Amino acid sequence: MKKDRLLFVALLFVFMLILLILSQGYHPVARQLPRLVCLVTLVLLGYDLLAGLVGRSPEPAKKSPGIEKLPRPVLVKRWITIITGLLSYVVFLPHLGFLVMTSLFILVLLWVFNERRASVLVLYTGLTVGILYLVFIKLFFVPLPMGDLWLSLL
Amino acid sequence: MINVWLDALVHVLSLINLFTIISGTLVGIVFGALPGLGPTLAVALMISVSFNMSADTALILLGAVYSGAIYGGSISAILLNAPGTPGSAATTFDGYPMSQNGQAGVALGISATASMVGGIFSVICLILFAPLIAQFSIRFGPPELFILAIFALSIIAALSSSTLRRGLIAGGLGLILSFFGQDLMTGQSRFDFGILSLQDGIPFVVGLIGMFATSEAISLAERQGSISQIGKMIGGGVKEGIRLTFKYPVTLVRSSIIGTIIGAVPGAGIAAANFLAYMETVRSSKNPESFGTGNPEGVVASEASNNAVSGGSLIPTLTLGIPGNAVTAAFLGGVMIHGMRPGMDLFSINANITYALFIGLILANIVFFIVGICFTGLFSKITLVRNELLVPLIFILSIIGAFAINNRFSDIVICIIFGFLGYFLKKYGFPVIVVVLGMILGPIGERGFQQSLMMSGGSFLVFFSRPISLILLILTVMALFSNMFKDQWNAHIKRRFGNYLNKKTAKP
Repeated sequence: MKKDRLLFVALLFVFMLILLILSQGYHPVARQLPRLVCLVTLVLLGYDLLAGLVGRSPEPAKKSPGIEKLPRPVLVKRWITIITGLLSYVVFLPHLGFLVMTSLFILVLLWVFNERRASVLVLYTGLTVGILYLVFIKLFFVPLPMGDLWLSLL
Repeated sequence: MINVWLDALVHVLSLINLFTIISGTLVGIVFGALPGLGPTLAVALMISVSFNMSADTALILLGAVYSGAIYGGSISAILLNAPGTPGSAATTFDGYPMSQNGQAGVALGISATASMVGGIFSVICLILFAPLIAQFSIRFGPPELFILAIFALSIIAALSSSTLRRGLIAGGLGLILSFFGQDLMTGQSRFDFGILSLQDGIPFVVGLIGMFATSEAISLAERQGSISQIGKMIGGGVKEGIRLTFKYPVTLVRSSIIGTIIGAVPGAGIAAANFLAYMETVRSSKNPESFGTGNPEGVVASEASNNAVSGGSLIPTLTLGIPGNAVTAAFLGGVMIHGMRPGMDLFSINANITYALFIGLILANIVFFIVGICFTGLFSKITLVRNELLVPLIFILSIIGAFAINNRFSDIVICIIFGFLGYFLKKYGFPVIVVVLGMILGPIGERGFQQSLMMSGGSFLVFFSRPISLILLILTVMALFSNMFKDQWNAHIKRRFGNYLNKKTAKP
């Protein structure tokens, strides 16, 4: 946990440093406040990093005892599914459309979360997609993508 | 003035708005009752639903969701000893023992009644004081706006994190993210990394949905099983609960006042109001030892105060554009995407919409009271929903919400990136609310900063030479220094009220 936190703070530090370097090339008016904010944040991040290295940084509060975390292999499996699921959703949404991608996304996630009952899988997915379709597309006219693949086939 | 109020009343009493109040309150109750979800997520997700609504309906929806969610938190606090929102934490101290004693119905009755009284009290304060503060806000020029942004960010950074340093880092991160895109003065594109969609900057509502909703879905995916395993009897006694609430009028009014005042202070938070009202009730009671064992007065204090925060927290949000907590930050997002600016405009040009919101808030409080009284048994079942079923739904709602704002695929990517960023920030003890606040206040602060320097010919003295900005500057310094005494204060609270807190943690 401590190592992970330090890595995260270090990444934030590098990100801020990049922004500070980038800001050098901007118009003096446009860079004034960003540079100031970058510098102050860099100092604070550097201090946090150092405090973490010498063990003087307080750890974030522990979660309440009622919340049980999953075993590591299950967690890894869920993380991989969530990341690939979200990436696939973004990449294929314009082509396959909202209805297909949302159904697939929900089904895959439920399956990975150990839901095996066909009735729950079908009903939950169908109801969720149906309600979202009605609310967003029919009621509020949000132009959710319907999929250029299907449009080209038509 | 009366015409504006009548106009607002006609707006609110339209069929669509009445339906919005009822459905919004119900959605809020469900989100509030589910531990781990809460009002912030509810309001953040509802922004996308409200996007294509008219401004008054949209604000009424967000207000109803907000009120309902805060009340909803008490249901799981009483039935499961698991507060649905941090603001209901003190409700568990006496609410859950009442459930264990077979008085869950009485406790739920008290919760609904005290919540309604606290909520309506705070809305009345909002109606009375908000226009006055909004009028005062006209005196704010660019230097005042810049210092106000710094003040709000500092005070919330100081109060919402375990260390001031992490709060300030989060504020700096939020500010720098708000600088992405075109500079307001020169028009130069900053930090776009050659990506076309970043030239317009990061839409903060998209970032907000990612930070609050997507990150919550990631956190929930890591937790096991269902939210609860309730099997307790709920019983009747709701009427007895209503009667008991009014048996403690002093507690009811005092807790409502504490909730409203604490709610109006940026960064103080709903949990602080909740604990303070509870502790004050314990302190002033003739039988302090009865608290923590199922004393109805404890539930009255806790529930009146947490719902009073809702109206109080909207005072700085609507008048100065400073959201005091994460929920009002999301709420402000909803206000701004409908083209309205906080401040005097809300009480002059858009007065009918703002007053419709106020009336809507009062009605929402009445609706959750009726719903709470009628459906206590049903609500207990809400808490049986498994995390696994909620995760895909929250992911999809946040993604669609992010897309719906500008109909851009790049916003989905931004939402997901912010989701993971929010998850890691929370995990490592950085307050996400401060990042979001930085993103909101960044443009206001930068505009104020640049215009002030233009006014003064580049001299920083402009920030010290005007009375309001000087006072705000002193308050900022005090807020930062007061954080140094936070630990001593926490130790004092622990010494003074440790037995009640220990009782709470010792429970199964």
